[in-house]
Amino acid sequence: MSRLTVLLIEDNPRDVRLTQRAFVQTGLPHELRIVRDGDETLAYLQREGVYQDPSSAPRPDVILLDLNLPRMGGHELLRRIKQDPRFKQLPIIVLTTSGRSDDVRQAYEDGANAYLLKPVEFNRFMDVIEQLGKFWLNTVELPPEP
Amino acid sequence: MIQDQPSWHSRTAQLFTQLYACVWQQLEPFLGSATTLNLIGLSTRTLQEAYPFLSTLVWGPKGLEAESLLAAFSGAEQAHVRAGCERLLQDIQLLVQSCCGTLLAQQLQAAIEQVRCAYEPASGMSVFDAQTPVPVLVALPPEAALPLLQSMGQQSLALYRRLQEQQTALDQAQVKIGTLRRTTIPTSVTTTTAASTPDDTARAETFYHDLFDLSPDGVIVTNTNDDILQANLQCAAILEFDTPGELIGRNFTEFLLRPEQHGTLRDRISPGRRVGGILQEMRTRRGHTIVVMASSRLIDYEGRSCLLSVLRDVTERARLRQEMEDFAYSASHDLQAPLRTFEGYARWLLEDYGEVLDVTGRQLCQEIIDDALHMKKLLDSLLEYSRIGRQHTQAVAVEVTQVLDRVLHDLQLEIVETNASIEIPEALPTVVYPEIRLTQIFTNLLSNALKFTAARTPEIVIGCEEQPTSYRFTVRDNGIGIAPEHYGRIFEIFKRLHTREEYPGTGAGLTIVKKIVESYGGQIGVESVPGIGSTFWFTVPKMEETP
Repeated sequence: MSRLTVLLIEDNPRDVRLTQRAFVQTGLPHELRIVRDGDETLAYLQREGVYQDPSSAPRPDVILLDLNLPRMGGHELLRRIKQDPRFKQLPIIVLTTSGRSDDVRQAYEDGANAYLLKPVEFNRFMDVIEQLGKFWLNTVELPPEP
Repeated sequence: MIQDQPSWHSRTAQLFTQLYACVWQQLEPFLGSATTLNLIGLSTRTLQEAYPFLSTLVWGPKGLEAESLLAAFSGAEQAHVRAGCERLLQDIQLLVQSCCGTLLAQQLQAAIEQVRCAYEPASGMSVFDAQTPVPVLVALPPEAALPLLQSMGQQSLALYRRLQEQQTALDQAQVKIGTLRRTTIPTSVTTTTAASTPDDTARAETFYHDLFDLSPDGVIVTNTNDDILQANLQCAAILEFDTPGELIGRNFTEFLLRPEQHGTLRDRISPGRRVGGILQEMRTRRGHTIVVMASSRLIDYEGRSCLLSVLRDVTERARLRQEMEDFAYSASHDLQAPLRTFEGYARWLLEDYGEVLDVTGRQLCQEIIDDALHMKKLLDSLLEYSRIGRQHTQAVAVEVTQVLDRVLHDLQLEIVETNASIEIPEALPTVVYPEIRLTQIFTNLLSNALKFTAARTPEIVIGCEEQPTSYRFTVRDNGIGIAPEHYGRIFEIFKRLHTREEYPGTGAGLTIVKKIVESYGGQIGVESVPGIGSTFWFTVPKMEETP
């Protein structure tokens, strides 16, 4: 694969900026798409509303999900995607500041493919993004296009 | 003077025959024959223990049968019989006074005195002239009032009888109490070991009964089927019952939210062992869910193997703890997001715009980064602090020597850097404690000893002293020491005695250690001489390992 398409679900614009910067600094070939909440995510995946044009909503290779979302929470969104036969094979990586064991357990029960903690230190965050990018870009076989 | 026996017999018998006939004549028209018989019967019963012959007297619907009185007189001692007959007469009079009123009693007394005077004019007992007719104090009531009076008399009599029974019971109880008092008071409370004599046993019983009732914790005894055999007041209060009696006979498991867990707990307890500090969720009679901390032990109760449990309601404590943990959690979680921005952006500035900034500008960026990372540590400490005692880490048998080996290994870098010497006793005990918590305590105390050093090589001595109920560990250093007025302050969260530049750290370490020590039933403290060194000590209670 030449390039990793990532859908980042994150409502905090500063976090979005830092994540974008981290991806850029890793130097990995990637395309980062941003949605800010559950409704936008579902619209993106189902190509509805502003995402009707397929080129505006390329199918992601992996989804990065922040649990702390407004309205529909991250856990609920995770369940909705993983219960939908059209999207359940998409790898979802939880990326959050919460290390609470209840959150971790619940996320895996709902079908998360990995659970990562966002470190406060940017350099360590970049390490996380780099490992994640390399793993999903170079190491694993992703599900084939439907 | 020798009395002529037969004549004396007949004379006295004659007197009492007339006296009793007089009684009958006075009472029967007012009370009716049934009540009169009742009244006489009651008096007879009261006296029959002292004068058994009284029960041989035959009272019929027309009063005393004279033959039975004569029979009683033959073959009994004169003084005794006479006294008995007098007592019966007095008792009947008393009873009439209590149950039928003064008027009838006076009339009866007057009639009796008249008979006596007529019979023994010289006795001098009489207040009435023998010639004076019996004064009619009350006129016979109209016929219609008679049955009413009779039933009133009957009721009074019944009440009187009950009163007497209760008096007897009360007397017996008082005798018992008196005996108990005499046996308990002179014995000293300290001689519990010698509770072998009946007196000691009674005293011990009273003592434990008081303990049982006064206990601020619920105490309950259950058999092997979990049926409740005994419970105290507080136990009833915890389960929202009015009296302990309502609990007896019920099954303990009906109050458990998860009865299946209880069975395994009970099976785990072997004779003579106790299991302590088990948290159990229970449901009260009114349906409230409560959290109870239970300690249990198998005992011999009335010849059977039973489970004695002490229950403490910790619902409020559990709720507050959960609330605090939730608060600390969301606080630390939500505060982390801006910290990531501070750190990330400051670094961004340094990396991409560092050339535009001067030295001060770059220094400021670096300080933002440092503070953001420090604050992250503070938040982690806060979270850690709120979690102690909450996440139930299992207490297991831990060899302190092994824990110290690991701690020293983890602190190797600091030890080598400071060239410190650490002295550890050859033999250290095995304690029952969550291993990770004991590691935390020693890591914290030792790293403080390695950190707060004066301008000399650190010399640290670890000590352990066995006490009756606990082990007392000490960590002594030759560091900067602490002034006594700061002893309290060093255990407060985020309170520091030095700047971060002098000695780095969050100021939460000792707070966390204190909370760990205390939440596992120990104490902690410090003794120090500024400039010479400090000795931190903490205790670990001796405990049996929970199987």
